[in-house]
Amino acid sequence: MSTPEITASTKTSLLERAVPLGANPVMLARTTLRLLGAVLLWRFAVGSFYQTATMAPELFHPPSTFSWLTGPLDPAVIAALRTLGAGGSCLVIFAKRGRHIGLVAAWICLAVLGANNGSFGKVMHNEVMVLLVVAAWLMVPAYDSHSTRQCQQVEEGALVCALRASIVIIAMVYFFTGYQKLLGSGLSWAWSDNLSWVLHDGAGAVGGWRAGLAQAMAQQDLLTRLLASIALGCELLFPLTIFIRAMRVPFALVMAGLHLSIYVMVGLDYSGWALPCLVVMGCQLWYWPGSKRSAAETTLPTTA
Amino acid sequence: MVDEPELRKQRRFPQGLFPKLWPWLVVVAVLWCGFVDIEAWPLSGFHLFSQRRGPNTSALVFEVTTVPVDFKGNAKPGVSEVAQRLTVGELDPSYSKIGWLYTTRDHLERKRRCQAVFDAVTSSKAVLATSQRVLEVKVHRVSYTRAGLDSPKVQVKDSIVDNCSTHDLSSAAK
Repeated sequence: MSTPEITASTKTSLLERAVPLGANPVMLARTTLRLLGAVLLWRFAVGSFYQTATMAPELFHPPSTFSWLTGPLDPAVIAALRTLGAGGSCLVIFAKRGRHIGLVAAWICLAVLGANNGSFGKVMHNEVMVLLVVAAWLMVPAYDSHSTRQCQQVEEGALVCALRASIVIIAMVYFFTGYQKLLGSGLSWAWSDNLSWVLHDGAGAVGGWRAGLAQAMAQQDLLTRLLASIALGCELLFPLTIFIRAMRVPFALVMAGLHLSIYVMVGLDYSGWALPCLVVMGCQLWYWPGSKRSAAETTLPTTA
Repeated sequence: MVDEPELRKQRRFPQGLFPKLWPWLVVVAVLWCGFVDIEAWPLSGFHLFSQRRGPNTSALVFEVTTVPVDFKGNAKPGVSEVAQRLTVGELDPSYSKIGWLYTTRDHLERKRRCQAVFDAVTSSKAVLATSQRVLEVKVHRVSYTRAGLDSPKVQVKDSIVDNCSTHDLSSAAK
């Protein structure tokens, strides 16, 4: 009789050991999901989705999965998708009822807007991280407090799995960016004047004090090599955050600093990468074992 | 005992294992695309990773799309949508290993690749009249066989929109 229970328990403990979470993973996952909704809302609010409005139609080459798009989206359609996506994001943040449909709607809207942006040949991967991370949460059901305990357990289990998967996704996406750099350019990506060239190039795109900062940085050969090495090293070592909780927040802060410096000195907005990483990894700090909040919530029932 | 409204609620969402399994399917997709075949990434237009796997091709053919401009360098209103497209030339096969022209974060390499295109563009003398602004340089991968060029089959397109900029091309022309 006890065999299935033992098996289930063993599976759970293996997963918990592989991707450790805080004292109350369900509450942590709920908070993370709401904050991911806020990240989606941010992207809908600040994303540059009208870049294709002025392009020549013959230059339009959508990705294969969006080949049904016959031309750049009309600005009115873009505005409608932004509004719909923002509404869905608000449901994720504020509502229990309708959270699931809101998340799916917001994800689809952002995917279509991102595909539209990425249809004119230029590298556009600004939305990739947020889309991948949120994709892990798309099948999390949303039951209200009147649902049976069985339903709530399904929801709680899915929430925790999505949180663990999000950590793995972020770690692996960063790892692959570093891995592909090594494949494409080798160590000279970091230990050469590569970053210096990037900063010289980026200075022309930002202007003002930001251009001055970029130029000043670009002239520091050793510093640029060290910074590039740190960035590449963090990307390659990011999978360690899957197994070691204590590394999550520092690595997230380093990558957020990297994305912020890219924005300041090169003018590229990678908040769609930095914010999901900060949210998923940063929540670990919020629910750090021993904290008041963590201690208060450990008494709540948990299922992993 | 589960009542009927509750059963209806349960049917609204996937039950049991699937909600727990789904996130790991996304993880598997990321791992598969990263290690096995990035080109197969279903959202390939997003260029998931900064550098994609190099092509198994022998040459790159590119074409330049230009647009008439006024004396200030701005595109003439209403003209940009009928951009002229010219096949300009072919890179030396020794450039086959450079792979993607644009999709790289190695800006030194990108600069070298762009310069190769600039050189070919300017040597062709086909474009870059002062009244034209380069709108796009489009690169095609072309397959070769041992017998030579085997009916150039365009496999994948990539393009440079603005980083290999008008300014660079103009200065190269001078």
